Amino acid sequence: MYVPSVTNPIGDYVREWVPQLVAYLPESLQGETTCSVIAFAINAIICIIAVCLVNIGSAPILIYMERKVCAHVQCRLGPMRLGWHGTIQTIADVLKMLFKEVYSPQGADKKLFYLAPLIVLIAPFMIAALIPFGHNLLVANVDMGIPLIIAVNGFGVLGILLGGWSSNNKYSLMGSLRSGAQMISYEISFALVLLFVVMVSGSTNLMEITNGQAGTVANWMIFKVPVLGFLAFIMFFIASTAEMNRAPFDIAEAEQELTGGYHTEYTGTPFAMFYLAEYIALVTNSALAVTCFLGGFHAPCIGFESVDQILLKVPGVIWFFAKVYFMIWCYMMVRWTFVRPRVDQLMSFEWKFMLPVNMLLLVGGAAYIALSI
Amino acid sequence: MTQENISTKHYIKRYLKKCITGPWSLLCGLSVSLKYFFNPKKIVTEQYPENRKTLKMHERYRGRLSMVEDAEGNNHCTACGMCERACPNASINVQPTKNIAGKKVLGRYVYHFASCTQCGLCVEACPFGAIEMSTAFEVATTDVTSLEMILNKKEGQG
Amino acid sequence: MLENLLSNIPLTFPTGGIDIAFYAVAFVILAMAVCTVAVKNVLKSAVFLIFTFVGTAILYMLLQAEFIALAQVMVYVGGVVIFVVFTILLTSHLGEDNFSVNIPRTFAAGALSVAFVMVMVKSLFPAKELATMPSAAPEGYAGLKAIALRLLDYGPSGYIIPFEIVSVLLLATLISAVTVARKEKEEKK
Repeated sequence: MYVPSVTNPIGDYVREWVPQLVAYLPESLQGETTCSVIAFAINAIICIIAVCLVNIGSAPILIYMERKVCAHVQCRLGPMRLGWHGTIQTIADVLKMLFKEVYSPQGADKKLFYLAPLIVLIAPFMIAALIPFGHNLLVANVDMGIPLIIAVNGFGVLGILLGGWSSNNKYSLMGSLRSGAQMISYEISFALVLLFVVMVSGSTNLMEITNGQAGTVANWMIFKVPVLGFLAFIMFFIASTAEMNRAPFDIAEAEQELTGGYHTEYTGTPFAMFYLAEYIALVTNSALAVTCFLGGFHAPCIGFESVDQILLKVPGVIWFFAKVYFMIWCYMMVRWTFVRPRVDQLMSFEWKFMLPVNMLLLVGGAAYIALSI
Repeated sequence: MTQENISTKHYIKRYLKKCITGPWSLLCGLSVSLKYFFNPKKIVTEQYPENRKTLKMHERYRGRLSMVEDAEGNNHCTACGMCERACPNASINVQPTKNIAGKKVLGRYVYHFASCTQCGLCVEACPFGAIEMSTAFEVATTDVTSLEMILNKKEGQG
Repeated sequence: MLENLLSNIPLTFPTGGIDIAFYAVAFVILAMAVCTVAVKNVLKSAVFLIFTFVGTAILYMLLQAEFIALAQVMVYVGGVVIFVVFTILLTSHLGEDNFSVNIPRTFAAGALSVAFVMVMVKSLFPAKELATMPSAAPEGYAGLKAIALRLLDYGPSGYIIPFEIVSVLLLATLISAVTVARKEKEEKK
């Protein structure tokens, strides 16, 4: 009987000591199959817990960070009261949100109304499972990582469309339609930029893409391909900002015109789920940017032996998260600096600027590969 | 939306120009917010109840009206009544009196703080610089009668 | 005739995890497909359609055809159904009037589907290799690399000409879409 196995060092470790555990079971149950089934179950549970921890654990940190960055850009201090520099504030807010009454508006389609936030959460959780956080820290080493990411991203649009419609609110419907149009359009650029990465690195496996950028900083995708790499990075930055519905592309929410867009009618836990999805998407998109362009978990070696020795002593996970939080900081600075474009400006920007530039990028990447061989 | 009639050449020219000016303007905006982010001195908010003892109000803050007095408590008011006339909601009531020489001087400068909007028109109207907006801002009270105050400590010297 | 057919059915009852998974997924797909047709609200049937497509993708996954599974999700869930939902949201007045289904039409539909199933069964079961065939493609056979190599191969097993023709077709579609959009503008003038 075929039982899928989780291929990572933790999985190997579990597989090693599971037979000892199985020995306690009655004789009739012992055997290869039981061992592999139990090992798979334990590994799967460990992986799920790890993904949930990384995702849900980072949300309060990000909300706190967003408030602080926003405040300092606007010459304020942000939360200062609860705990040292307001560190406990977000936890208090999350608790408040969880204790609120879950309430659906009159005339809303109840089933779809509660299904929508669940669908929105699918994409970020699945992408988080694909990202290599360290040399050995990877939940699923999927050969087709990047096609999977592109495929799964479609669920986000769906959740937003359903949530907007089922709220039985004109503002919500308007917001969800806008965001649907926006996300479908920017998905094309998003996919094309990732295709550029695939083309240059020659693999769709995220682990292989990361390992292809090992060595000095010059090997990172952003510097590896002169000019084009940096351009691709900027394009990825723009497309992923639009994919996440973050300002300056937060047409879907647009507080001033749509009173919050598709999640106007949501309260309590369902609203918290939309909120969570937004912040997890921020983490996963930053992690994707780091994996594809900034060398993943590899230390930023400069080329000098003595400096590199010290840099290499720091574990890869710490480098990875340092880079991820730097990316998140970049997203936040952009969010609190730029103004929101109109809907038509947004669309013409995608179809008249992003798409041609991405096509040219692909051609340029092909030329680079042809020349370097 | 109105359709513009421009030639293709002109359109391409404008498009390419925008490709350069657009990112440049974005970078300018980003540099401003980066400057603010990395410079903690730019922060203007105050942690009010905590820093109550050290808090210094800005000079231009318009709090309660007060009289400019020297160390002995003398003021410059001549009871001309310009401030009373300038006040849009009749919060000031200047009550003159006569001194020993028979000259008109300030008797009581009654100020109804409850109806004052701190607009500062009275300060602008005063020809002698006798009144100013003080920086006092903790002015909440539970006693209505305390909002009606007499600002001068001494009768006017004129 | 029915007995004849039943005796022909190869006995592949669940023997392993993959088989159980296949039957479970197949059942879910069937249930969702029935729901898609039976539900009165158009948007809800679109949602059920998504579940059907996701189920089909899982079936491909079980057959070790990962790329086809991902393409299924990418094209159908990420593209087609989103556009279906879009058009539903933009055009119809949802909830105001559900469709009325008249009974003769239901019967006709039922008869047609039964006939379709009969044809499928009749054409599939005479194949004796059905029971002995490998239940999944060998690993890597339907992978991204293998598909790409076969798609762009010049040799007898390659599909370079259909690939190029499809790309020309797509280009023609793109250009015609632009022209359709442009015509309106000129008429206005």
